[in-house]
Parts: sequence; structure tokens; C-alpha cells
Amino acid sequence: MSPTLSQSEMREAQFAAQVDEVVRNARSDAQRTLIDLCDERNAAYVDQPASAVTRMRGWALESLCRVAPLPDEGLPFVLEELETAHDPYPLALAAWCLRTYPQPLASFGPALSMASRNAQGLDAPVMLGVYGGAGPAGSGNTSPMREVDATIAWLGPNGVLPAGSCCPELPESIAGLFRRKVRGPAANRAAVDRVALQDHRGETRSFRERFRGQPSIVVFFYSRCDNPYKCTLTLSKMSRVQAILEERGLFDRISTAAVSYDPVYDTPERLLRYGRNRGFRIDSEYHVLLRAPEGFDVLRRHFELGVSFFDSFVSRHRIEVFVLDGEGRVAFTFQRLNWSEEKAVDEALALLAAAPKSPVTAASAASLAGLAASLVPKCPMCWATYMSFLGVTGTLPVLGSVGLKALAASLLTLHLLLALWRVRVTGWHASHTLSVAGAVAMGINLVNPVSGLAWVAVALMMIASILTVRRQYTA
Amino acid sequence: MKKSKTKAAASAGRKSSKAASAKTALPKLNLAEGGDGLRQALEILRDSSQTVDKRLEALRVLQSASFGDEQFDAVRGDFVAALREVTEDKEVKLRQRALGLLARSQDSHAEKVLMAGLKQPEKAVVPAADALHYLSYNLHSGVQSLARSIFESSKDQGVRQQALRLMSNDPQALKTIQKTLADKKETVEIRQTSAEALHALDPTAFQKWASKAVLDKSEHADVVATSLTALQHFGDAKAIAGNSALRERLGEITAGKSAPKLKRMAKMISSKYGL
Repeated sequence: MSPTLSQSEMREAQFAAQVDEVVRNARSDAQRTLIDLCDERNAAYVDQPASAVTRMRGWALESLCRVAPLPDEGLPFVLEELETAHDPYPLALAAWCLRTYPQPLASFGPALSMASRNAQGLDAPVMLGVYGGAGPAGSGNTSPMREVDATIAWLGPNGVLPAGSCCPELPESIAGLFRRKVRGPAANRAAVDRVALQDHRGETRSFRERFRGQPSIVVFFYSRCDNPYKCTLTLSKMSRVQAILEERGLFDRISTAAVSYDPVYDTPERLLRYGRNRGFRIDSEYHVLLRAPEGFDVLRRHFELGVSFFDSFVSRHRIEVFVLDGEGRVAFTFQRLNWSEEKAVDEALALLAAAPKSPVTAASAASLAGLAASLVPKCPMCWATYMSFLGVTGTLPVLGSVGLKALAASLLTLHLLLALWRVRVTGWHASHTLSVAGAVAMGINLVNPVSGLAWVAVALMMIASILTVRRQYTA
Repeated sequence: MKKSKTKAAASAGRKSSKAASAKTALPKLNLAEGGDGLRQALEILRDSSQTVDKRLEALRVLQSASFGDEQFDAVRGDFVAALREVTEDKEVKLRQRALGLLARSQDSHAEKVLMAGLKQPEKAVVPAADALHYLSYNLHSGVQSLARSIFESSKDQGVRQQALRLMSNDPQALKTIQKTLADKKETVEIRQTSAEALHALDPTAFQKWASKAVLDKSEHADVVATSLTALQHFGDAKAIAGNSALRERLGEITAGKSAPKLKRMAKMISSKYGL
């Protein structure tokens, strides 16, 4: 059932009261509580419209900056608003809030520069100190331009860069809040592997099939996003990522994918149009625009997406970029701030370089086991030859006809197990069909020898082996 | 403000506007050059003792300056503040213009005022159809669920039509839209708007429906025309070419006693898809 506006209004009022109480009681965990409330994943924002989320997060952020100087953990929210705010209230608020940080840093300059450009087109009365950021009849006590100007003045000489220098980086202690390496397996791995992802051509494959076998750079977006500094910019930046991959000869070794937050509305046609219009290249199997018509919630949990919804509409989302390893696991994330395309490619390349070669070895081993099985005698002449060999070497007493058949059966079983393990890792491919078909043929031949079947089985397994190795190296 | 008062004011606004345009153009304001002139215009806009025409002219000057006058950035905040004040003005024409402009820039105050008016009609400062239209500028205003309930409950066809337009980007409204489109008791205008909404939400479902509507001999000619237009411009060539019943029906329309408009459209489709 869809939420009603009156329910959301009631919950909004409760939220405001909760924030006021945190501030009033000055609890020791007040800062932590308020930082948690700035996160769009907080349960308070479930089924709240965009305007309410803006007011609620604004009030949490303003309260955070009033209880004490802005802590490092609060900076991501402030800098994000300075770079991407699409509404006068959060922009003015973020500019004011930054001035409560203990010291002006030169690395705030780029975000303030963007804020200054945004503020010109967004200037409007804003009332700080009041829930919702507006006084009676929409009056205000400040505006985005006034606050941004004041913050630029606060930055003072720190904001002036030496001639020829550009874009000072945030200290690592702060930058680490926007990008991080991820360790440990995801809890809902099996579920996410099964999620069906439909691409811009309408073709559906599972998450596992899409993202296993090579590192991937994945972003989230939706075509109805009206903030030019978020989804549109993210897709445009992904086209730059693709250009870098091509320059470095990695276009077919590292994949890129843009996944919609809005799978019901973003049909394959809409995905295609949106991607093309922003320069996203879709001329290869490795570069796709995707949606999850079923199972988006599983993806949301897997990636811990910073997005909230009202009805079927996205009401708030952060910028988020993920680098996945060859197993489809999240290895690195960029959040909120404008991310570096080169850095994303570097992270994916590092994963490519670190990828174990064992899958190739194991795949070959599967076929080798099958081939070894083929060496077990299947005709009277062969049996005689092997018997003679075993007799000469003195191993005949150890292995009789039954023993050899048991050995062949064991090798075939090993072959099948290895082949199935490869299927689980890489998804199903033509080589697996050939390999399994070869093993089955060999098994039939062991039980009931058929003239020529053994050679057919050997040929199938050899072709499977060659295809597997070729695929591994061309990927 | 009472609903009846809003309606009366809206009607009066339309009448006075027609009368004004019939008599003369809007008055000249004799403003200074540059930023000073813009500030003068802002004063006139805010001044309720000035005539409506003069205030509308000041608003026009400011609005056109907002598209590229370098001096405008200095007064942009004051312009928004003035528009917000005018949303409570006694003149409905000014309220409508101010709310329309603010809503286009997704102003949170304007959206709050418009939503309040839809939820509590006694607080409405503009007619409901206008409010829905202005709120449609912001996909994220959260008005869709309200639009669904207004569509179900309102008796005003204009309001219902505007609500339907808003629902055309709301996947949760899909069933209502399909039901409305199929309901021959609804007015042709409402059904045509439903057709547009279904096309926006689920183009494949709409194509299927359009083919059926053309085959339905009891269907209203205007609805058939809408369906033919959809098939002509957005139709799946393969599906249409393979639809023998549709081919036959198009032949009947072309050869029969249908309206010339329908005949022309049927011919165009037949020729486009080689039927």
C-alpha cells in the first residue's frame, strides 16, 4: 500500500521533535545520532517525499553544526551539498555549516567554487534556525549566495591557490570517508547472484553472469533524476571511464555498468536513450545499462545503496560508484563527492592484476581429468595393451579390470565436479556444455562401449578445454 | 480563503485579463537602466496599491531579465522573495503567475502552498487544476499519491484530467489509467489523456490496447483516432504487419463511411506498414 501524505507529515513532525530532543538533552552520543540521521539510508526517510527528506536531513545537519563544531564524519554531507545541492536551503545550510568546522582547509576550495556557481542560479530566501528552512510566507534571514560568500571569506587566504596549482586534495583522514576498500564477503551473496538484470537491449542475465570473470566499474542512476550534478554527471563520467579503458587497452578486460534505481520506469528503451545521450558506450558485451525489474531490494542491500523512495519515486540518493572484483564482490567504493575516473580505473586495474590464474588451471584440470579417463581401455586390444603394460611393470596385481574402471569413473566424477565448480564461478558457457557432454559420452562408453564414442568424447572435452582457456585469456 | 471565492476570483481574473488585452497593451513603467530598474520593478510588483496591469508588467520585465540579464543575479533572491509574497496577493492573476513561476523553479514554498490548497480546498490560492499543473513541474514534489485520490474523488473533469497528466509518470497509477482508458462511460477527453498516460508509462501495453480499440466498432471515433495516431507513430512494424484483423479493419475504415480524418489516418498506416 502506498504511503499517504498525512502519514508522512506525521512522521516528519516526529522526526523534528526527535532531533530537537537530541539537541536539548545534549547527550554524549548526540553527534553520532545526528550524523546517522544525515544518512539517506536512515529508516526515517523511508516513504518520505523528496521535499520532506530535504527538510528532515537539513534539520539534522543544522542541529549537528549547532551542538558542536562540525566533526570530520559530518564533512561528507556538507561537502556533498556544496557540490550537488539543487535546492536553496541545503546549499545555504551547508555553506553555513562548513564555517563551524574547526579550521578552514584549502581543500574545501573546489567544493566552495562549485557552490558559488550553483548559488547564483538558486538564490532565494532561506531561514536558518527554523525547521524547514523557511519563515512565514517563505521569508528568510539569509540566502545561498550570502552564506557561500561568507564561507569563502572565512576560507580567506587558504582558498587562494599558488599560481599553476590545481585542486588541492582533502587530507586522507577526510578523503577516506568518501572512498574505501571493502573487505569480507557480503551477507546475501547467494541471493544477489540470482538477481536477474535486464540490459538496454532487453536481454536478461543473472548478476553472477554479468559480473563474474572480470573486474567491473558500476554506478547507479535513474533517468528521471533532475539534478544535473548527480545522475547526468555520473553517466557522463562513466563515458570518460570508458575512454580511459580504451586508451589503456582495457576496454574488453574491465566492464562498466550503470544500474537504474528506478527499474519500473527505466525500461530498456529509456536506459538506451539515457545512456546514449550522455556518451555512455554500449557497443560491447562488457559495457551495459541495466535494471533489475525484480529483486532491486536485494541489490540495494548488497551494495548498501544510499537511496530513499516515496511511492515509486526516488526521493533522495547519493552519488555512488563501485569497483567489483572478478567474482562480482564489491572491492572499492566512492561515495557522495565527485569521484575520479582515473582512480576508479586504477582500482579496477589493480584487481585485474591481482586476479588469480587458478580458474584457467582448474578449468584445464577438469578437461585433463576427462582426457585421463579416456585413456582407460575401452576395447579388447586396448585392454590387452594395458594389461601387458601393468603386467610388465608389476602393477597388475594392484589394479584389475574392475579397478581400472573404478579409476576411470573416479576421474570422470572429478572432471564433472571441476566443470560444475567452473559453472558456479563463471556462469554457464558453451564450453561447459561440450565438457559435460564429453564426460557423459565417456561415462556411457565405460558402461556400454560403443565404437567411436570414446573419440567423440575426447574431442568434445578437448574443444571445451581450448574454448575455456581462450575465453580466459581474451577476457 | 473559501473555495467559492477562489473560483470567483479565477473567473474575474480571466475576465479582467480578456478586457485588458482587448483595450490596450500592458502599461509602460519608465524604469531606470540596469539593476536600479530591476529594483524599481520589484517595488512595483510588491506594491498592492498599484494597478494589477502595472504589477503584471513589472513581473514581465523581471521575468524576461531573469533569462540572461547580467544584472539579474544581484536581485534574484529578492525576486523570489517578492514572488513568494505575491502568492498571497488578493489578485488571483498575480497569484497564478507567481506560483507558476516559482513552481517552475521547484520552489519549496510554492509547492507547500499548492499542496496545502489541494489537501484543504479552503486554503487554496489557485484553482485545483492549476495547482496540479504547477506541481507537475517537479516530479519529486510527492503530489502523485494526492493526484490519484483527487482523480478518484473529483467531479470536475478539468481537475481529473490534470490529475491524470500527473499520474502519467507514476507506475503505481498504471491500473487506474488502464481502467479509465477502457471505461467507455468516461469522457473522450479523459480517455484520451489516459491513453497518453499509458503510452508514457507502458508503451507496449498501450500499443496492444490501441490495436484492440481500432478493431472495436463501438469505440468512439476520437478514441479510434488517438489509437491510429499511436499506431502510426509508435507502432511495432512487425506486430502490425502480422495483424490480419487490423489490416482488414483498416481496409473497412478506408472504404467505409468513417470520418475523412479516420480514413486518411487508416490509409497512412496501411501505406507505412505495407498492409
